[in-house]
Amino acid sequence: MIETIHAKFDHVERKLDVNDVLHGLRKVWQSSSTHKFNQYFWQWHYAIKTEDVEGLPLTIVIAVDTRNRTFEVVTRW
Amino acid sequence: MVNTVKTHEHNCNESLREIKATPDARYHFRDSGLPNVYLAGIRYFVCGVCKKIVKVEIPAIEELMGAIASAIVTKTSPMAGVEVQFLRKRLGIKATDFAAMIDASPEQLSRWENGHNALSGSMDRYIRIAYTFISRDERLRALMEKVKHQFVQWSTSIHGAGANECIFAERLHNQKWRAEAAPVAA
Repeated sequence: MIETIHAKFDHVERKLDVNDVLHGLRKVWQSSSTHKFNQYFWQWHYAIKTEDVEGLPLTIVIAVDTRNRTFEVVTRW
Repeated sequence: MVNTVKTHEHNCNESLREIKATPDARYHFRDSGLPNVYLAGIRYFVCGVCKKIVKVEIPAIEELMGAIASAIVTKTSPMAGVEVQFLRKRLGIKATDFAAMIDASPEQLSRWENGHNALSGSMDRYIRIAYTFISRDERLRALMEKVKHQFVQWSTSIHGAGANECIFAERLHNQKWRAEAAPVAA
């Protein structure tokens, strides 16, 4: 998993950490319809609507790198 | 472009410099939820202009988080509040549910997790054992099985010292994570 600086530091007020992101991805989640194509990196960004460990709504934006079989957590809030 | 970091006059993604974290130059893994976790054997990228960390690449993150949890459960110093919170969140249990499970009030658990109150020795041991059984962490359970005869010795070795500790996790040549609690060098 790769995390950008935006994902790591821009939503510190909620004290979300890697455990919340992993928990949110493990749960049954919904894919939001607001996909965006990033021309700079030539990849799609997907918004995932799920919950953190405390059961509060959590949105995770990921960018998938199919060639390297990795995904990047762009941001979460 | 969502993941393009722009700072004042430059775009950080256009001048990335790769750095490999080593045992001598560790990466401070603040996003683990713990303040004292350091990694080696991973790559991260800093902006060549403003020197900020732009990206961190952590392989096998589930295994790493499990290794950190194992290091917490098996260390001999008392658990800090944030470590209790780490284990709870690792199990994916809400604070209110976890408080009910260990027969504490949500307020009491909150005070432990925030470091306002210290855990009693028996509650410390109980949470470690509960984590071991609930997590189904095979590595931890295998370790417990292996050292079952030493359990009493381990359990009684948890003492009041160990405030200046960090957790050091290293990615080994066999692509596995190894993590352990270690004293902070003076």
